[in-house]
Amino acid sequence: MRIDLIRSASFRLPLIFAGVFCLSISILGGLLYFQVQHSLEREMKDRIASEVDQLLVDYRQDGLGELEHDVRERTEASDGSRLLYFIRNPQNKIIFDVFTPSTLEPGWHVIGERLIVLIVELKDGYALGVGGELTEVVAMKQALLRALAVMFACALFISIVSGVVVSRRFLESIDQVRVTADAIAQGDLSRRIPLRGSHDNFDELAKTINGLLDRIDTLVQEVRNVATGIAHDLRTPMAKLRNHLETLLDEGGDRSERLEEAIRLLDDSFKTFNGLLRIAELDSGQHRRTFENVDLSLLFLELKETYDVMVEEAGGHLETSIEPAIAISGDKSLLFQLFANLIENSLIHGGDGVRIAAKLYRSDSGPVVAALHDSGQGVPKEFIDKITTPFFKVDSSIPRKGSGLGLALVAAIARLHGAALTFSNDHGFSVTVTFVDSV
Amino acid sequence: MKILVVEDDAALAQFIVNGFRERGHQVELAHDGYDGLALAMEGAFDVLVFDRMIPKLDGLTLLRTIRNSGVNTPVLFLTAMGNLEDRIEGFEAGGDDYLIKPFAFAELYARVCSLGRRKIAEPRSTILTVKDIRMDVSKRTLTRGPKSISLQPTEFKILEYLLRNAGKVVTRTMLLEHVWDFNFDPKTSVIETHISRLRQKLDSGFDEELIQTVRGAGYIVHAN
Repeated sequence: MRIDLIRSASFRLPLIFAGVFCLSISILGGLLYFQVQHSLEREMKDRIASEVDQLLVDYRQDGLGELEHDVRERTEASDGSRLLYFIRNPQNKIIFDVFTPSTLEPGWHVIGERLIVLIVELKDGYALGVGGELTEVVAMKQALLRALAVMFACALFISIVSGVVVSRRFLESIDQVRVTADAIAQGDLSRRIPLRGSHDNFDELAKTINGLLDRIDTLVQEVRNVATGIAHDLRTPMAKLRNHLETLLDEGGDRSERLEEAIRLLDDSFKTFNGLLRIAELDSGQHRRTFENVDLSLLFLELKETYDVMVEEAGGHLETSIEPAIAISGDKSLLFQLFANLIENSLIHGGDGVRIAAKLYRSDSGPVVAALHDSGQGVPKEFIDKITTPFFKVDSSIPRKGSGLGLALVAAIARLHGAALTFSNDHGFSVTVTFVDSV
Repeated sequence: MKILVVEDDAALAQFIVNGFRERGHQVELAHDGYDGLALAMEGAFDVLVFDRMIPKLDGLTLLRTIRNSGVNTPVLFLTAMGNLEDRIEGFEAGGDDYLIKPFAFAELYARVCSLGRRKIAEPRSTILTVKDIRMDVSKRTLTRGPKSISLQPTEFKILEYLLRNAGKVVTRTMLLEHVWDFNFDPKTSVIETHISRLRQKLDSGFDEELIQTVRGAGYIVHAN
């Protein structure tokens, strides 16, 4: 079974893992960034507030003149990290400034992201403003952002790589189970899941599944042995019986007709017996090991060649519509048998003058489809689901025409090839065989 | 023909041996694998008939042993086991044909005769002439006397097989196996219908029926 890359777990799992990891890193990085920003701004605010408090102490003691003196002293200091000041008069004119704020309302203001200012009302309508430049804070924030970006990129890379590595190992184990199960479904019951020797959950799971497969293998062997035993133990005495009858027949005499009839009845029993054994053999899946590429188009041409003459003898007509170069993986003999049985079914039940149409094409959705239709009376709707049951008869009072295993064999061969079989009545009887795995 | 039969079941062995002797062939019988090996290695037989399940040395091992020793005599297996694996094993070991019990003696006889004829390594000729029939297999042409006859592909293959086995009985099963590239088991009389059509085309305007029915066995085209 193919798995598309995009839908595959080996593509999705690392992506999900990387996504979750990077989202966590982003959230943590974001929190760190805002925490640092808040912390730095808080520090600046505390410094400004403390400065304002100090200035207000002197102002309250010694008035505006002392305030102006204090402010001038501070501004004349050559300290690179000093604060910025202004004093506003009652007429809203700045009488001392190192900077001009864009607003003069009391309270905290952040101006243009580069300046943080505290403005306090003084007596007589004056106002004092103290501000700090956020240049260093901004620089620190930018450096932090760059570091976080690098960290994010590394995290993304590491998470994708480690996600791929981890999910590969995980999916390898699962894939091994899938591949082994596929091989077993194809008929190779000897396969087992290899152990990694890591004694972890996967190894324990593998051991459990292998144990299950051992049990299935044993059961299948037992069934096979029983079937082989039955085959041998029934066939041998039946063969002897037949030989005795043939010997008696060779001796001639007036019992010849009855002996021929006895041999014929015995041969019919063998055919039924062989038919049942064949169905069991098909369902065991062992035929899948010898599957090869089969040209179905050529096969259909051979079918027409084989059965044209028979349908004509019955006064009917066999029409085919065959798309060229349609090939599937399968067993040529069994596939021919499948369609031969369906055509023969139409011949036997369709009546004189039956018209049979056989189509082979690749559907738009991909699978190869073979459709047969005959102009016979079809099967009553309530029995359509039962017609592939061995020995099923629509009307049990009418003697059977045929072995009673034809459609059961068709169904077994279809199952072996992974094909879906559908029957319907529409102006006759239709059978559609869809080779689902042939996409 | 000189035939070796290796079969441990006394009744079946007698049935087979009597059948061949009544038809004028020489038969030697062994009841176990060791005796069978000793006789087969003498190499004087045209066909070997082995049962797969025989005591002391089973049929497959017996076959492998004689093949490894360079004995190329055709071998036909008799068996009660008819599943796919067993058939493949038999052919891979070097067997030439396979018959599942129970079988009609006529079937066994026809197949042994066919194998016996094969022992003479004839190159596969492309021109087949039997009586007044001339078939060119490569050109796909057929004439009977002065008359050119056109056949469908299946009819051609059936006649080709009959002509290549001219003088021998060809059973229905042998036709099914050799005319179609695969094994299938028809429930209807498809072989008989094809033979009937073939006869109409071949015999129209001629006194002699080319393809004769052998009751209880199959069909035959008598050789010149």
